[in-house]
Amino acid sequence: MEKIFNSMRDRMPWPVARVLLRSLGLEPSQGWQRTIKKYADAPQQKHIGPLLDKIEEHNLCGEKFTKIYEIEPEEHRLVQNWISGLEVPENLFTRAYPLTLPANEIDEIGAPPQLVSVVRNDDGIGAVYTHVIRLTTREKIELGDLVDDPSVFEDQYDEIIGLKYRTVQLFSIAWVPHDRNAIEIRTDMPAGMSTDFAHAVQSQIRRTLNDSEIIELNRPIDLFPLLEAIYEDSRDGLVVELGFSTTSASVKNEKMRRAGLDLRTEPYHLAGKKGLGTPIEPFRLFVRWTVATDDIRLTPELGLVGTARGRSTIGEPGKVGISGAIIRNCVGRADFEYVISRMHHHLESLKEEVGT
Amino acid sequence: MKVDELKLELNAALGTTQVASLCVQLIDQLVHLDDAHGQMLTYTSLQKLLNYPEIDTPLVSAVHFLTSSRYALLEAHGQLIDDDGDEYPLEDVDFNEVLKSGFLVHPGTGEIVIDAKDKVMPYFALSLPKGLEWAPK
Repeated sequence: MEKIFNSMRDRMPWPVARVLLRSLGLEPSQGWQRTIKKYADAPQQKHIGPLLDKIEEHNLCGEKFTKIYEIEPEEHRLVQNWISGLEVPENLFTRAYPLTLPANEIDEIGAPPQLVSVVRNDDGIGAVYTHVIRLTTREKIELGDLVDDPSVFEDQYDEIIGLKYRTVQLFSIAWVPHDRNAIEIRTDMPAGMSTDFAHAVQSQIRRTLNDSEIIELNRPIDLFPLLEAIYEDSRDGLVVELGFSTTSASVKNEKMRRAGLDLRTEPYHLAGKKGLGTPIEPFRLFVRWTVATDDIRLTPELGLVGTARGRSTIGEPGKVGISGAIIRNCVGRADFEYVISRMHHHLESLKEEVGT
Repeated sequence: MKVDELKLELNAALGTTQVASLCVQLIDQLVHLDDAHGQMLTYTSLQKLLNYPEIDTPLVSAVHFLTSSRYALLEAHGQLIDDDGDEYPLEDVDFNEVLKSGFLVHPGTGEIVIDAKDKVMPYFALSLPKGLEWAPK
């Protein structure tokens, strides 16, 4: 159980892990340390199989940076067949799957993505790849913890920062849903990973698909129009973060993450819009939904992150896009597919508006 | 119950003290806030509502009285601001635990928070009792 919990600890936000454990009748304790100890003292063998199934499902759906590519019906058939025919090699990663390997068992960092699983379910077919990266985090060092006489350094330095290297194993999925002519490339986006890095990982998976010569993926769907579409639809989810610029030369970043509250109706936000008199220009949005399933309340989030450059630069007036969506806080298929369905709902509505 | 009756009862309970006076002044301000404006009242918010010079012991005591007595108009909650500067509202059970023992696990990561009491910001949400009546401003 400890190995399973450590793998979960590496990959899942604590709220997601708690929901997942409770769904199997495993009541967590306070935090990972106490939960691991609780079940080390009283292992639950009968839960291991179902827990691994849930973890595998989470690998496909948890904390993902997702790009969606539209494809032709014939391409859809070909790529589903191609993925179905892939052979999963035998190696340390595939033997450990759906768990990650402990960092001290990983030999190589930065190797190309390796296939670890092929998944078929009612939603679609997917190829699961893994690769290992190193993330660097910066932490302020309290000198008093390290040396007896910190005054020697305090005269010379205002702050001393330490770099921590963390070995992280990622799962990326090339997913072909049954009900849409599209390919979703879903890549892990753990805390501390920059968007630039996430794009680089996406490019690796796209290259893997293009190298198959079954398909040629070029540009993903531009998700920038979803920003205003979702913001303006007050019935759809709760807006918990919003970045926008104003004609009065201000750039705002508003956050409101208490349960049940929506920035769209927050008094300061409303008064600001009224006082401004001109439309705000959103470029960053996080929206949260509540999805009830099997007596569990799920709260997935969608993030669409642009920059204060907005929709236009000198090089691309009106064409700056958002190519990937951050989909987080998902436990599994139900909440992830819900978010995807909301995205498609708005994309289709926008297409119809353009058509009329 | 009318607000004036509430204030009389409160003065009877606390006597002629600075805390009682601050409670009465807070009640006068809080009953005119709507829900939307009373979601996250910090000690600073309450100090500014009263135009009071500083967050001192009498003010803190008055606020606590209005959260924990039968005259409670406020609910106490907590929010973790972690070392990255990110905000995480706490479940009430976790907030109560950190008040009691100083123990807190990070709501996002599940890891133990070192020096949690120094990283949790208390705040108060308006919770006017049902049936409380007051004259409009």
